[in-house]
Amino acid sequence: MLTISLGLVAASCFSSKEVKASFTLNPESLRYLYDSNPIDCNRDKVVYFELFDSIPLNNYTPFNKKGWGAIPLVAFNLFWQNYEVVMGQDMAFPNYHQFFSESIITESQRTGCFTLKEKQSEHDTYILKLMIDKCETKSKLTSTFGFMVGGYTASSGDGHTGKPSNTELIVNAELLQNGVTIFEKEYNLIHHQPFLSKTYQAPNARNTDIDLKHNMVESLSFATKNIIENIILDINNTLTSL
Amino acid sequence: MERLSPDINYTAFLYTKIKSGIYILCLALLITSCGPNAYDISGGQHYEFELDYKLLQDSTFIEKSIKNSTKYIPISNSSINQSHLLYNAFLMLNKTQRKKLKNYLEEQKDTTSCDYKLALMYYNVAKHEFQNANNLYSNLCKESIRFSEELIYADLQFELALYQGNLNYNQQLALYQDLIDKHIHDELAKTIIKSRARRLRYINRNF
Repeated sequence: MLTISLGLVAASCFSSKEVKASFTLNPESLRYLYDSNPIDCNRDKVVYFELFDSIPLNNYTPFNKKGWGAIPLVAFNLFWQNYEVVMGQDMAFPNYHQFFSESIITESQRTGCFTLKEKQSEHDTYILKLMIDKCETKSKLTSTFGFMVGGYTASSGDGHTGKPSNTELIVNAELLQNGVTIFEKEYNLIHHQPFLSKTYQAPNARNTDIDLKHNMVESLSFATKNIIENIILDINNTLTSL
Repeated sequence: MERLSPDINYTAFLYTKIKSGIYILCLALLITSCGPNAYDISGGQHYEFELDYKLLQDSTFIEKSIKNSTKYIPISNSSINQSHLLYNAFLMLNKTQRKKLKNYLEEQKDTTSCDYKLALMYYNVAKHEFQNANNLYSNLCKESIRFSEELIYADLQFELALYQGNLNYNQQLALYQDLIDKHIHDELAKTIIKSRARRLRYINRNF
């Protein structure tokens, strides 16, 4: 009986297949609100940009097992498995490359004192080369399962615990004027995305997984927003100082 | 007098019960201590829904809710939450309860207070008579409301859309983007709008 119970525990606690499905079944939208104050300025200068690294995210979301634990006391038993979740493209839409390009164009229309367009030829006057060197959003998930036997009764329960996500985004920006570099900077951002509320209990493990997915996609969205706003600001300063 | 259950060992019985109690306590403590951030991930929507359900257990909840809402006039965030309570409650009303509510609102029709209009607006929304709600809204306490009237309006659209399932997340966010652009220089309004827009990501699974 005990062996069967342990087998059930192992099956429910250590299989990542179902957990993974919660994250990737319905991809979450990479989006955020543009809240910067629009600037009214001359936008005569046209900057053409080129975004390198078309796949900055992994195609798939890996669930790396990071240790497990057990308290088997016959009458009271608790098992847990830790996972490190690294966000992949399958968790979110649209494609990150497309999201970054659209976001920087929209933001430049609000706060940029230039017109930003996708690169057309090598002879464009201003070319902005953007290289996404690192784009990694990580979180931790713990799957727990416990059961208890006391007298003539037995009870069991399982749950998932998520940790707030962290995004590390590194983008290198280089602005060229007629082929000569006039500005270059590496933007390195580590963004921590807190949960929405500290007072709420998700009704079940699946909802916890979905909320954690929201948190990860949200984290990458806001990290991208912060970097893009800084890039636009620096290009404004560079172009006005010419 | 003869003892009814002479064979029961009361000490052993008590010991077993205490032991079971300790097991339950240990399990609860361990599960709690294992996940300091466990289940902290979602927003207040579920809470509001739970509260509405409790309100439904009270036969006079409609009157109480509407009377309570007068505390928050002119409209504030608290009032928005109060309106949410009403709105969510309406969705769960049966035909008889709705009739009762309508009668109550009819009795109050001479009242010019915002809470009556707001309640009626939500009532119309609950009946999916969105156009009526919209018309009523346009005359709703214009002087006393600043950005929050648009926020309520947007919320109405979101709630209705979520209920009917005809707006996706991006469309909902686009609606909030319009709102934030209208109040772009008002930091407080921006903060509130962003906070509510953030909740959108987490609301959908509750429907």
